[in-house]
Amino acid sequence: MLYDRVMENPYYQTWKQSEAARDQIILILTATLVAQTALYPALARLYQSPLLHYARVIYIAGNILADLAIGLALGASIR
Amino acid sequence: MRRHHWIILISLALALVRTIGLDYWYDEAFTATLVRLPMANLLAATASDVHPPLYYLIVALTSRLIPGELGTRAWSVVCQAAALLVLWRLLARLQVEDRLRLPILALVALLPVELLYATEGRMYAQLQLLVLLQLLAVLERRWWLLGIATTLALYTHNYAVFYSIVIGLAALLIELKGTCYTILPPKYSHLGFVDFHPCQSRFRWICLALGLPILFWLPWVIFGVIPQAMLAASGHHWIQPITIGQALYALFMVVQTTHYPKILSLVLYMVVAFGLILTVRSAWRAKQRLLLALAFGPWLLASLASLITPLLLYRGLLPSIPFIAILVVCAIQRAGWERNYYVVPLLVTVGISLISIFGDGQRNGVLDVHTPIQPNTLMVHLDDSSLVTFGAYPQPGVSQVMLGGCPESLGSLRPVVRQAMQYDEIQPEDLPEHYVLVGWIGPLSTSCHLDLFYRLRAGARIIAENDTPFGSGGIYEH
Repeated sequence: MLYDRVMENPYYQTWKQSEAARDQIILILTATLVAQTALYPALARLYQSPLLHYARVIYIAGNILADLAIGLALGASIR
Repeated sequence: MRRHHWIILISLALALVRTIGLDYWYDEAFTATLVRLPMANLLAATASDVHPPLYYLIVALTSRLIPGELGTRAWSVVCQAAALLVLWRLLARLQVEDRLRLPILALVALLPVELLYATEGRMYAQLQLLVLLQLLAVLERRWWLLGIATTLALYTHNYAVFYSIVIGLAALLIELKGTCYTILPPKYSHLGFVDFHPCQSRFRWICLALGLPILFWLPWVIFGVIPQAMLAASGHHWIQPITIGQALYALFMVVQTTHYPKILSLVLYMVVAFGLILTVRSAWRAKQRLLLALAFGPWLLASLASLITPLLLYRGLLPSIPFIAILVVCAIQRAGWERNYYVVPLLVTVGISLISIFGDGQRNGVLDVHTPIQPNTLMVHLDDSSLVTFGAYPQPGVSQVMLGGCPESLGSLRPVVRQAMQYDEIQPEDLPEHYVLVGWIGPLSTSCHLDLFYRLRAGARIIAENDTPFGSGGIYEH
């Protein structure tokens, strides 16, 4: 295999490690987002009140803020 | 001029402004070098490289009419203009609401990824145009156009196979759903069936429109695709074996491109991923199955094919962008009072990328190809990465050669391609006393290249040097 020829190369190692880390983070994020997408309608069914509108806005805003915070922290750490 | 014409003009003007003074990057430099060659060499080099020859043959003509970078990139601009006009017509055929058509066109026309490839000296804009033409042909039942567009697409880029499979299946399903066979032979038509006008299905025409291109494509399959697939399966190509994360990342990249502040990468990924998840959910509920298939089917097929041979690369998925944009705008329209929660992140992410593609500087490579070299100097390149980019900007009296003596690195040009491109090779022991070494050591360099680079760099005068986490190198004079 030609891959064997570059295995010793330190830049190849850096590249592969960064790709593996990226893949893991992407998988976790995507799974979280899919779960959240499934959660919104469930919440809507749970809070059948006039305050539903505000509850959803607060929930979505809170989620986005949390996502942004996690994203920024992770983004800064892998820079 | 109508409003959609203005949007197209503004988009093309923005794309062209971005390329003023912009040097070729590796792939474009490869195009520029290839199209300067005599026809026989061009075909020989293409046959042993990756992509089919049609795009190079067209650009060989345009680059002779218009000199410089513009000549290499002009054909993509023409294709982009035509693609946007075809998209405008498609929106009517797809029965998209009138008031959504301009926002969709504007989104596609101004998306950073579209602006980038509208002026890139590569075949992606041409592929996008041909895929849109394929779909238009299916919806308008112009089977001759489907046949021509499919043949041309297959000779433009290997990813055309994935689009043709999806569009071909869509054509068969549309015909199956929208037509029925003539139940009664014409001789009974005098009996009269009021309000019953059976529409004759055109399966035979569809089979012809898709079968003939496959027949015409066979030579390229035999001499191009199969040898390349075998080479890639043996680990020659730089694209690495696929993972789920990599497949998702490719989808992100085709929407977001590589141009964005890297510190925001995960935030942007989340916004894009969340947006796409909601878009898919909304489209599925609205039964936009054809658009869903066109938007994500080729990506899925390319990901599956990558299990056999690693080939997933985001750039080839450019033709999916118009379909994704249609789905996004339709989903936003259906979102009701939540609309702003979709529109604001969309505009922010597009805005960030737009600023990035105009602010990323004018240098594409890691080493400056315009570094002045004394005439009558031999420029020796460690590998193809610099040979191709520097070769596209020949300096008077400076001859470019490739350094031999090492096995091929991942993704390097095959010797037969380099030969067709008229690049000679020199062995380390044959190097003259005075020469200039251009070397870049990156993730794909072999151990042999590393050793050779450090050995030849020792004692040389540094003309230019660059160091990054993923590689280092420079221009050195002996």
